[in-house]
Amino acid sequence: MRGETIKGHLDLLLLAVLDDAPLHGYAVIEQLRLRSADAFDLPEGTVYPALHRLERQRLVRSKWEVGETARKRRLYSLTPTGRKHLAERREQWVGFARAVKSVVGEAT
Amino acid sequence: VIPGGPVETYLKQLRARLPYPAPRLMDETREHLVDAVEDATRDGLPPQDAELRAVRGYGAVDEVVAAVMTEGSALMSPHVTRWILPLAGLLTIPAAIFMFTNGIEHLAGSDGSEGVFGAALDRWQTPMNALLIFGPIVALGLIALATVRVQVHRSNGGIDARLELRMSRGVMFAALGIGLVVAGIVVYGVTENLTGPGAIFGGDWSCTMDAQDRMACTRL
Repeated sequence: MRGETIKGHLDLLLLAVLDDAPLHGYAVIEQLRLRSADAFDLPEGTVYPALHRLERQRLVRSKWEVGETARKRRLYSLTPTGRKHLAERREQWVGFARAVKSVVGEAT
Repeated sequence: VIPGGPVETYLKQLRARLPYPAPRLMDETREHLVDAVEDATRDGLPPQDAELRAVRGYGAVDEVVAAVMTEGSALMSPHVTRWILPLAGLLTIPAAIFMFTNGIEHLAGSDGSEGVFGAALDRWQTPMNALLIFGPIVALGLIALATVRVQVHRSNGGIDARLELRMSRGVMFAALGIGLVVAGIVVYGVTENLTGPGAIFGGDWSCTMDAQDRMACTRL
């Protein structure tokens, strides 16, 4: 699935990935790939600008952290506002997906 | 990272193509690519191929630049929106008040034929005074620039760019500062025109008529 398809849902996906634990950008993208079983083939470089925007919207926060390899990485985590926003978006998405499924039906 | 290899070349190209300096994005890109190269190396790829895989996964430079421009500018980074813009805006208010209470009176001491800026340059000749007069104007300009958000939309294979102004606390404070200055100038100008020079701030004035029948006044 290419970027254009995912774009409309990117915020929800990024917030959902960060819901479990704070992650740096590379791990966020890995999680996206892992959880979608490689379905989301997003150019990795497009994720960072989206994370920066979510940070400007106060939905995520970030800080530089030095990892085990002594390299510094920017660690992203959800803010309380981000968590609330995620819950709302998740609810909307589940309702939408259920409605679409009931119209389109299951894959055969 | 191989000197002059795919990762370095990619970083150079990205830096050159970004419409503004984005140090944080560049740092994160570098860290990301190094992580990707390490993963590829662990998968058994030779260094050159590992770098190529990392760069390909990150996306074409054009794609990343388009995403950066769509999602916002480095000037709208959290630090800028949270601290620098509001601070710049707050600084504009005392500067505007200073201009209103002090600067206008001095500007009024000119004969008016040189215009506001001409008179200001004429009377406020020291660098500090010039800074006090023009500083707020420059600050407002910078704030306006910093709040311009370039939006890029892809459509039918082409790219449409449009500018969008984002309101922030800084802009609101700046607008308040501008409002004070403009209101001051209008009140002063109208009153002085109706009642003659010195009506507001007092002082002795000498007025003469020039060849074009225009009145020119100077403070004594």
